[in-house]
Amino acid sequence: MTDWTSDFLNRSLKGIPDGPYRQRMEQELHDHLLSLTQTMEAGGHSSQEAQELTLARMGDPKEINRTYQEDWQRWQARTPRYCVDQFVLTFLKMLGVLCFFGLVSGLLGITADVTFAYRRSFSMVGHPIFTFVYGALLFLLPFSYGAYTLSQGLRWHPQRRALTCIGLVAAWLAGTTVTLLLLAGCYGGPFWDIPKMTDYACHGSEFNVYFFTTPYVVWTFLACVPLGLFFSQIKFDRKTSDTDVPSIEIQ
Amino acid sequence: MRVDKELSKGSHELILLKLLGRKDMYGYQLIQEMSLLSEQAFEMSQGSLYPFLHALERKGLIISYSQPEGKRERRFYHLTDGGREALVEKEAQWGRYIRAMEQILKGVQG
Repeated sequence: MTDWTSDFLNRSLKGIPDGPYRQRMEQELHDHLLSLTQTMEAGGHSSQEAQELTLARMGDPKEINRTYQEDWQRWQARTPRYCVDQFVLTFLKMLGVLCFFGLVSGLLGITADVTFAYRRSFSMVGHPIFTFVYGALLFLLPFSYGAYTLSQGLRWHPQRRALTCIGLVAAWLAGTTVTLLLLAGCYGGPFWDIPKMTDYACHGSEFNVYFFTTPYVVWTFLACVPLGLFFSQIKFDRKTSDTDVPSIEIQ
Repeated sequence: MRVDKELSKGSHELILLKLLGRKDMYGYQLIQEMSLLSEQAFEMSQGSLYPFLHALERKGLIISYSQPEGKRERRFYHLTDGGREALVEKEAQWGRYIRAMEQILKGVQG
């Protein structure tokens, strides 16, 4: 590979890590550069002129790099590793939203029980509508954000809808399992006995969480799929579709 | 005379599938054939061809393979059975489009 071709390739493929995609593009672009140069030389141009004309005909490396960056993202979006990375990233973000919600609730003085009062607090006890709304927000906020994030991260994957729903269900499973395990740890009993665990959650001790009932567990599970389907309808850029065909410039 | 690029948008896929329907070609060869057969009405941006070919590959309309040519490895593209079906469909759509435009333009001139 010569200096000028190497320079062009590095600028056109800047930011794209070494791997199957970059190796393939280097091979194809290098062959293209040499073929175009040969055509110019066959047309009577000197070697130097042919190189300059070739570079001019290839276009601005920055523009090419932008196109190839997007192509590379579409390429890797279909790899299992990328999907797993998106799942993990989304779960962490959902956890962040959950923690933030808890922090804000605490600062606002919202409490599940009258036993623990911090400054001016508002207890859910005796307020079923508020309890319902609180429980709904506790699910909808992180899971809506998670559905949006996952849908955006997987926007180039042909199975975006299915993977978004699967991701949300996996997040639900993880969160619910951890909660049930904690309850089983505190009160004893098999964690998979959901009615018993939710009963402990609602009435077990001073730390009652009144919205965590069996119907709550069921509807949050069922809501994962419609949420996933809803957010996976969003088109995040002009060309987003399962048939992701970019346009090519005709000069 | 070059065609206004707004007019030629949407025909890219048909052009490339049609060319590959004749024989397997590599990227630069596709650009050359397009320019030659269209009498330079279509001259493709050299750099942006490959992402387009990759997209057709992801759709299963074409496949690619490497083949040594002289001292170089060259990547050729081949039209799949699915690509041939898509080509037939797109040619039919294009025919309908052309006929409809001709009727409109004749009607306006009349």
